[in-house]
Amino acid sequence: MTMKNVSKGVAISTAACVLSLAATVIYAFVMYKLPVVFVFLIAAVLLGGAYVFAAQKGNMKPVFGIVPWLNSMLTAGALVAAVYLMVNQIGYVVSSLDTIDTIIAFIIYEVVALIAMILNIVSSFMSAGVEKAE
Amino acid sequence: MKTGSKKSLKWRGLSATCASVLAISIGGLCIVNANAAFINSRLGTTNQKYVSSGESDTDSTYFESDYSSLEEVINAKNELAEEIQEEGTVLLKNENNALPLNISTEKVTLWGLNSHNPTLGGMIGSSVSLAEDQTYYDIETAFTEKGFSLNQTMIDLYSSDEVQAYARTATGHALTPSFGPIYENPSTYNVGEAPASIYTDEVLASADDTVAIVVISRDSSEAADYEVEMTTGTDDSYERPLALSEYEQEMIELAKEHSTKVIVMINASNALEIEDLKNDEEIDSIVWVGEPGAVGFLGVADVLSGEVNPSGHMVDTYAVNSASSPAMVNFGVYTYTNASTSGSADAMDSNNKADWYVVESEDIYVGYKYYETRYEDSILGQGNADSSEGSSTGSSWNYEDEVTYPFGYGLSYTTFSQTLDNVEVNVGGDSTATVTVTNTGDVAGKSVAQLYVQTPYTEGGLEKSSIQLVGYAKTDILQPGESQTLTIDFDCEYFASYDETAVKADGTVGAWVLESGDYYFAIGNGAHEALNNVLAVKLGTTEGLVTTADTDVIDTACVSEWNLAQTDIETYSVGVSNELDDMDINNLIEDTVEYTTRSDWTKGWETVTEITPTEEMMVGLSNNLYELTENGDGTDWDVDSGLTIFDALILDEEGNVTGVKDLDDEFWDQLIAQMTLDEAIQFIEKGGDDIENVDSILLTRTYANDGPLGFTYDQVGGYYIRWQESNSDEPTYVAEDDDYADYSMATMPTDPVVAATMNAELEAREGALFAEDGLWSNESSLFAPGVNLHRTPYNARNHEYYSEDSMLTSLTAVAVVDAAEEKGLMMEPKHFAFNHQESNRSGLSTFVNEQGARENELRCFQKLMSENHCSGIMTAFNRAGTKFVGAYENLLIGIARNEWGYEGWYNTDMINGADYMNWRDITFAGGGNCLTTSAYDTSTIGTMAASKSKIAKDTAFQEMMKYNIKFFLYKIASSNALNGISVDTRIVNVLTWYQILCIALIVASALGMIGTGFMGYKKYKEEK
Repeated sequence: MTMKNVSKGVAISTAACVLSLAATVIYAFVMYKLPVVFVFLIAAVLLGGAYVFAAQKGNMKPVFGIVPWLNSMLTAGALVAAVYLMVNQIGYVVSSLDTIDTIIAFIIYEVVALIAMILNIVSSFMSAGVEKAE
Repeated sequence: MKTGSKKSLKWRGLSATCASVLAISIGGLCIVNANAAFINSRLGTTNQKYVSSGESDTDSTYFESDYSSLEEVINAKNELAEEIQEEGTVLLKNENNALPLNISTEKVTLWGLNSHNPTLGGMIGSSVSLAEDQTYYDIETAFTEKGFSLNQTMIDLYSSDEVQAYARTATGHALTPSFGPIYENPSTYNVGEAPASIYTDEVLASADDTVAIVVISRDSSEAADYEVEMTTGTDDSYERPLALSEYEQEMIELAKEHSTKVIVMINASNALEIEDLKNDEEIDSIVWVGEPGAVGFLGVADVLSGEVNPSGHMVDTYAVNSASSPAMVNFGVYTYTNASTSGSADAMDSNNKADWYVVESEDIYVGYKYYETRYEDSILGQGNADSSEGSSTGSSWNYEDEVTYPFGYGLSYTTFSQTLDNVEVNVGGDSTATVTVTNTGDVAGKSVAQLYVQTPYTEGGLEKSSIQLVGYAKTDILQPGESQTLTIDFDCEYFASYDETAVKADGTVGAWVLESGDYYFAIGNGAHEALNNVLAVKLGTTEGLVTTADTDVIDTACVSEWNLAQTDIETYSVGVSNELDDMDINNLIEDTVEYTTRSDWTKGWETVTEITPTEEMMVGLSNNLYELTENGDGTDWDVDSGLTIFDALILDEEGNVTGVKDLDDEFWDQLIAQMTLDEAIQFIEKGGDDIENVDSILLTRTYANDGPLGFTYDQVGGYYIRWQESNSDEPTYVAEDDDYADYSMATMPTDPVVAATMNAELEAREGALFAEDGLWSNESSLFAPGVNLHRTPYNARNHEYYSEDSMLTSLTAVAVVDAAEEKGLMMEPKHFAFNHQESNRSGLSTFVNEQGARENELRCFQKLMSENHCSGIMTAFNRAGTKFVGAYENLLIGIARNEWGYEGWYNTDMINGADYMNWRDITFAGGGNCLTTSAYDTSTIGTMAASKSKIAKDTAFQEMMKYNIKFFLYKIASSNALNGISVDTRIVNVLTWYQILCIALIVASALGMIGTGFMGYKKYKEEK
């Protein structure tokens, strides 16, 4: 049987894609939501999915080379844009005017989105080719 | 298949890294730009510089400091803070002359874990948070500095990690914050005392033959409340959080066993239950010290050592049972039946912030006005006063069982006689009383003459308090045998009753009434003694009258009668009519509440546990008071008349400023028309911790911050923060390297201590020093003082407000505010109005009847605003009835502007719930500007700037914008905000270092992204 071993680049892209999806879900629970964050994240998920799918199929066209680059920018944008509407709320919590549970979802989201962004950056240093093994 | 070689991948990776940094930098720049005002206020940075051409020779120092250095200011503040604490400390009990202590022969053991962890101030707006190198005094350090010999063994015990585990939380705050939505009353509060088991034999032996100073403490906080049903959350226990806990009682028992005498020190702003301590013969003395701020314990030490003779008086009633007043029947968290959490019945959503209500069912009977009025009725046998309803014991109501120490009570180390020489009453004019005070003891000291009045009451008629404070005055230090005659000025307006049913000559309904009959003016050591004096005159005997302490004296010579032949409903009612009909829940839904009434004291004890809003009420609750429409012929903006804010100044022939143009001068309209609509929008929408600059009229950025103890450190991190190097030629400029540059200004004692001094001269000095802080820190407005009423002892924010009495609150506030304004600091008393609890304060519907509202809460503000003592007023978080109080036109314009003639501005509190505190309703109701940075970004209504095109079509709305802005400009023109700026000053916009950093990152990452991208592409092509 011939099987394909997924390269490290694809594995990391897959992980980034999953985390972007997770960030999208978590962001839905954040107190104040900016629609553009969903746009960035969903775009990152779709592009990442297509990228991984193409890699799996061995149908990696040159244009796909831009996906890790694009995704790192999209997740970075999603990471920072989410802060915009939460600044006041963070201030309230820091000033003891509101409780930490009001920003827990936001904190988790930021951590997940940050990891997704880092993984996207790392994957952009790596090949998405698949290695054949017997 | 590979997607590239290692080299091209490296370039792609680097390009992706740069792209990510670019995205973050762009986003970061947007965020810091949106919040630049706030960030600048914290970092001491600015986006504007003021450049003078030097053409004008006008002196631009409009308000000068009385001090030559910042060190002098700080020393003066510390001295004053100590002095306020000395005069604000109240001696409640002093058996066998246990006090003062002889500190050269008597060693002291400080008892109670809270002697090691006392509370100095409250959390948030009144926190005592200082610079690292700034000195503050807890009890141990203060007493040591003042020469007390302290039992170190006990201090070591309390300092140990093992015992500190029992302490209140590290911040001194253990109440559940209720700033966000909560649907239950806060549940736990740990008093921070340790069990008796921590005291070893060795420790106890160390206390033998020493004087015990037992510290009982409760802390305070904004955004929190105490609640009757709370538990400690530890192994300690109490009946109520304001009663002594089991651990405290155990500790007191040990102190009694191991001491030569026992002094109890009450370190709390909330009235505690200390009847047992009062009656305990083994407790020699009780002293109330409140929360003394950064240095106040030095003053407490002076009182205990006899260096200073105490002369403070209680600002609240100390009830036997802290929950026994009718106000406590409706206090806490009550949710509408259709609240956002009610399931299928919910009609509101969380954005409405409208789930909660409180019905102030006590009518006018707050604090002593309840206890003393019911006392008189119990003596006179009227109104079922001795029924068991509301009784703490469950049997017949009896004053002795209800009150431990009455409002206004306070002792001295000496004795004084006071005689009421004369009372001159002049309805519609100034009235005065003269009181001669003589020191009849053998120690020098000060004495307060408190003047009260009883107005005529007819059973079943208009509700009246049996006694109410009308004024006070304090003597100088009187040597033994020395006398001083004091004059107390008062105004009959402030003891008139509000009659919601009175029909005046002009046909309008609602009036201030002075009913015909006998008026009794009385002096006394507190409200109870004054009332007893009145009762002794009315009854012709002292038999049956109840005294609260052996020191009480009943003296009919302390009473002066005055008769009003005819009821007067006109003198104080010009322009007055009912404005608060929709704050009375019974007018909205019939028979919802049964108010407290002295015609039948069995009434008014029902909690209003269920309200279903009517359709009419839902209009306010769903924040739909005003919608933008297209109307009118437009409004003028951006009309250049060549005016600046400096043209508002009136100069004499020599160019000295002598005043500011009248508010009704058309100059103001011309000046505002010179602003652009964008500037006006920014002015209203971004009136945050500072009022944004308006370049078109040369209005500089005006800094404004909390709070009642002075500019609070978490908002103004030192004197240097607001200064720029370009200001260095100003006489009060403070450079960053100044020795005191980072000192906190929030060091004064809390407001109840200030009020307890009953010394207007001291209070004025505090105001003047607040203003000095303004000059030396380049701040122009202080969100202070807090003048809400202590409606109940359970509001954990009582430390920011003066008293349970409206006149003590009003007179104290006027003294502080007047002196501050005199020196150019714009004072912004808060929170207008009805902010009586912190639990669910955001959006809380507060229902009260008009008589209760006007005679209590609004009277706290009335003199400040009607005589225009203050430049601004901060509105509250709650609703008045169902409408956000900062958008409640009947109050803001109807009463304050039209009835009182208020000429200052309004500013909301921090926007917390942008949809109910929305700019649309606030502006149109005359609510001034909004204390926010970017809160509207997250609201349904959105930002004001985003609605600019709609606003531009709404003429009526724009006219209201101008109306609101005018009051600000009028007041700012006569404040220290213009210091350092003259007619030839120009504003230059500059970038801050953090904005430059973001831009540099954007440029560098963009270049990096392009460069690495190009290299990667090149490699890719080469490989191909």
